[in-house]
Amino acid sequence: MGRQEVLDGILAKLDDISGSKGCMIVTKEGEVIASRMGKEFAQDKVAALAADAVTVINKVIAECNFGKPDTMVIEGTGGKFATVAAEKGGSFIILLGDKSMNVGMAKMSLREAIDAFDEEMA
Amino acid sequence: MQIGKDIGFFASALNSIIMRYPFFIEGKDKKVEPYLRQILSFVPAYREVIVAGNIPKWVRYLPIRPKELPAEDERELVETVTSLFEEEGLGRPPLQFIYFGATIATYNGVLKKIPKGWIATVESVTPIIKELGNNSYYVEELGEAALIHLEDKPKNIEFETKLLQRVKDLPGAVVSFVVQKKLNEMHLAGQAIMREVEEGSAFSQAEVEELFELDEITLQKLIELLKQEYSVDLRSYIGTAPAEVKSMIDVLTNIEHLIAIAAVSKRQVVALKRLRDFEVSMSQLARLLIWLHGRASEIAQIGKKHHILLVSENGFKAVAMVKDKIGYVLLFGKEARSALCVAAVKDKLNL
Repeated sequence: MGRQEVLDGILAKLDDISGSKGCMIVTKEGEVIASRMGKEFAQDKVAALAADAVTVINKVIAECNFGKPDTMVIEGTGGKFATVAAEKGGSFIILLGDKSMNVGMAKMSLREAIDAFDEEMA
Repeated sequence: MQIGKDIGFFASALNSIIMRYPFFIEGKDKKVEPYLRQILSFVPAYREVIVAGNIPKWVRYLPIRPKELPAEDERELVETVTSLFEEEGLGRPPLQFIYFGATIATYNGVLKKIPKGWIATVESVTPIIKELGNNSYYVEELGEAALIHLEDKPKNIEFETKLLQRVKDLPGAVVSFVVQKKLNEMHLAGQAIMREVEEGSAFSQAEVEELFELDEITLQKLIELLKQEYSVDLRSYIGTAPAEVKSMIDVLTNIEHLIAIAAVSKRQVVALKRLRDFEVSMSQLARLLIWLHGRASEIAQIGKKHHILLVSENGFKAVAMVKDKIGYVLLFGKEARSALCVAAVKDKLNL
């Protein structure tokens, strides 16, 4: 199986969680390397938010002395956006969901996805 | 010598030195010399120190490296010292004048004509007090030493008291080191702030406090110091937080496991409160999270009302929310639980 297929498989599994509207893998430079987005979300807009989130995470590491971020969740009345950093791949896996998505479950699924991603990138 | 329980005596002397209020030190004999040495060790090293009168030998070897002026011709002495003070406006370092062995005649002939920045030693304060009559002054006594400050008793010497409280049981040389270090840090911060302000930069009080590592009390003292030494009133240049933000910060302070709070308005940190020591750059963290908060509502279907929760690998949490166009960022310790942090902030902000 090619790398792209493996990454698509990771996202497919992640997308199975209740309330998920899509997910993507973004490099630390903010480039999308794999994506699985619902029609109601404009991929370019989500990718832009992902790139902004990655920019903030990079600056938080470099300038704020906050420590390496583990997870970032943006939760609003219209939807949820969660991201976890992959250690080995140097990338971020992002999950987008509607109001009903359980953030705790989402984080657990994201971590599983990260483990699979790290294994693939090792 | 240790300051011990006599903080009030030394704090009043330190306050007068910092603010360059004139004062007399009574010293009848050698017993008082340690007090005098300790007090003179508080004179900031960046000041130019001029001495005159019956100068004790040890004064010549003080780290403040005093320059001696002849005191025979009182008129000439007054003219020289006054013109040196005037040259501060042309960039000369702040001046401190110390006269040893002053008498009533010296007070009337020299010191009375120099409005600020002098310290004078006298054999006895009694004739001086008599001479001062109805003028403003207050006396601090300690054993055989006494100080007469030619000002009304200051209402607030919290900065001086806190600084000396930390070192009250340590040897005198350590006390001098701590005081000098603090005053020199403040001096350097003051120079940098004045330079930035001259170049057109605008700071909020919270930003100044974090950038220059000053707490609120030290910043207030620095503002007074710069007014005294450089005739610059920084209050007009440093923005303070609106009252509603201050009261909201007070409300948020009650949340458990909180390390720090920052309030951001129009990309500027307008208020910052630290409840525990944690070396995170709170201003920068707050600005970044509130920027991302704004971007999230612009570009994705997250909804206008939303919050950001950032968790670090070592368990620290940062929560960002916006209320009435003010962004609030709260930093929590690792013992805090993410969901409870968010719920508590929402509850306090009434969101």
